[in-house]
Amino acid sequence: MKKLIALMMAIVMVLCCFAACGSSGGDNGGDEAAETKRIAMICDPVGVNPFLTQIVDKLEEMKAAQTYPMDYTVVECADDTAWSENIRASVEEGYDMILVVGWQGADPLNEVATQFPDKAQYAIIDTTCDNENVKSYIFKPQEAAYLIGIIAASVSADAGQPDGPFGGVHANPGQGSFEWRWGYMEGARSVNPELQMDDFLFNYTKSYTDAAIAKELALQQAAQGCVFINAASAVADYGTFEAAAEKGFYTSGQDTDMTNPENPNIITSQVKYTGVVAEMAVKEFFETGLQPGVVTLGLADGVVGAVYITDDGTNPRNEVLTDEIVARAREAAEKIKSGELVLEVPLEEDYSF
Amino acid sequence: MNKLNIKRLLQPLGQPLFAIFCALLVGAVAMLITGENPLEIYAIMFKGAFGGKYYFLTTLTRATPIIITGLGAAIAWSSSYMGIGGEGQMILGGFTCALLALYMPGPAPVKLVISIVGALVAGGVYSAISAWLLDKFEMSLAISTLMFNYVAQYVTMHFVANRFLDKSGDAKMTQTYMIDESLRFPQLIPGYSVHLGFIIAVLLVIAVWFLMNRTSFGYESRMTGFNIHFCDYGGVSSKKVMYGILALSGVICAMAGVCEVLGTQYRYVHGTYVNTSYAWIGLNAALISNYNPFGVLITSIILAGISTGGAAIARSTDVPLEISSVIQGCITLFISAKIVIQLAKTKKGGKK
Repeated sequence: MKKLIALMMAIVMVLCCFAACGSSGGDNGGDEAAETKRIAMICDPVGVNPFLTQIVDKLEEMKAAQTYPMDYTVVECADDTAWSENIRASVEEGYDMILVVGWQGADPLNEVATQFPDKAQYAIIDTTCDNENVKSYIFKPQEAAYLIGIIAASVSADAGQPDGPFGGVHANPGQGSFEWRWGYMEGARSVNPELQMDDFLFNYTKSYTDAAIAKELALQQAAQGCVFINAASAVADYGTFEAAAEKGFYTSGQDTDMTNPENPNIITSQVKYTGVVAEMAVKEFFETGLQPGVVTLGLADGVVGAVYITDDGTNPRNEVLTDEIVARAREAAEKIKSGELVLEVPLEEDYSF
Repeated sequence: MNKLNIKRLLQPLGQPLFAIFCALLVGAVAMLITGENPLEIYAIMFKGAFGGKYYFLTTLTRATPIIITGLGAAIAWSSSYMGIGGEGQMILGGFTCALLALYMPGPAPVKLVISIVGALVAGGVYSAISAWLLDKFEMSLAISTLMFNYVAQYVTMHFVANRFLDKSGDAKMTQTYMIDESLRFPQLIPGYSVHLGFIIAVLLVIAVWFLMNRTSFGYESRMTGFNIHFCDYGGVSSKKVMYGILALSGVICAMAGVCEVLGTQYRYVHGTYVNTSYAWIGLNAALISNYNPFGVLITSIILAGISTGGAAIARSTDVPLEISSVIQGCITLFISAKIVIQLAKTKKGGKK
């Protein structure tokens, strides 16, 4: 026992030596900007998830531009409990603005914002937080999905299959992701009103990262004759893309422009410019202070869209996406922007056709 | 005499502290390789876990379900029933509790009692099914309990998503409505997340210790662990004991779900118990502390501290969150090494 303690002590001492060597370069430069506001961004592990990287990149860009005296920390949450711990701790640690990205944060943010209304300003992206001290930014992804649906139905019709089936490899079932499916189905139905519910195949990876499962599901849908398979399972979409390259069906990416000259079968991408939203929030924070309430962002705000429809894309367009299809989708996009076409997502259980 | 007592008290702590020390050491090497100063990082981690009232109480909140599932695992494992179904039992407990609390008619105290009792019964029965499978079909307990975790997870998901979904917001989370405020566990200190569940956990520690060491049921269950034939020979029905132990283990794990629902989230949220790995960390704590209930208490708090401290690292340094996962992984590794050494020892003893 004594030997063991001696050994432990010895190791600690050796470590101290190492540490002393390492820490000599520590920073003790004076912080002259006392007015610097600290922003905590609380989110899932960022990794290569474009939904989050866009925000982090935007924050970095804004910090570098020095328009506002800001500094930021990205706080990644390892599990659901960490969300409430981190949100609460960020208040404790004196952050001035707490930017929560993701619906896991809604409940804990609600609690913290009620308890400490004046300690910080609060914003949440991607869900609503029903609290008088929180600014919520939500999306209308159904508007982008609608455009994808138009493309899916048109491309399938050109390939001789106007009646589908239409595929979809998504992340999770349930109301939470229904806006994606609903927009997609409605878009396709606007091209071919004869479609039945059975003409749409949806399968779920139940993971945002499991590309192998996504590929397997996409291959099954391709075997059932899908010309177009909508990929909406975040990073797992790479599996669907791989299946598209192998089997020759067409697909669409998600969150950011995923088109790729190496894989022309990714003919478009339903984008969400989350960076734009982060910029909005930070700007408002510095200029007027965050005004609590809910903001819904869609095509008209330039926050969601579809590659080649709401922008011109950066990669060459696959010719199956003909000028005719693009014109048709753009027309729909204009209608949505002008408010002529309103897309309100119903409850999944109430929806049938 | 006095000295002896202290030594006996400290004995169960020696092993976990040593395993955790080794793990921190390996973590330090990992940090040195990535070019960070491990002492500085550990200081931040320690502060984020135990330094200050707020952090310490947050750690206790996270430790609560770990302690309870740890006790559930300790009871079963110390009798050599190596069930790993704590997660499923916890899910079923939390789910049942939330539904009863939401949809039972009646005055609040009655509702509260019924929802807790109902949840415990659900967990106990669920665990007893595995016992029955082992008894009648000799189905491996490890496999059946593991599979039952998935069954519980997805069956409850179905019901929450399609029957009891909270549609008041944008319905993005698979979760039930919030339970009424009159049914929630009070916070021990207003403004801090630690709740009545922690007191329950501590009381359970004492109760389980008493049960294991001071009752005939505890004696019998330990005997089945040592030698099942001896037990039968001595006139103790090992089957009865097995059903008893496994059902009790399920009841305790269900209590962890109850505490989460009534104490922290105030609703059942699909997936939280799985992605926080509470039951697995609890099992880990039981293993580290040699199934000693007081050891489970201390170890669970330390393991919870590693998680909350890990989040503090992520908040204030550039060290990736994964470092705290590395340390947790190392602890598991060092403990499994201990198990092997123990097995080797018993084999030697058997040869003699």
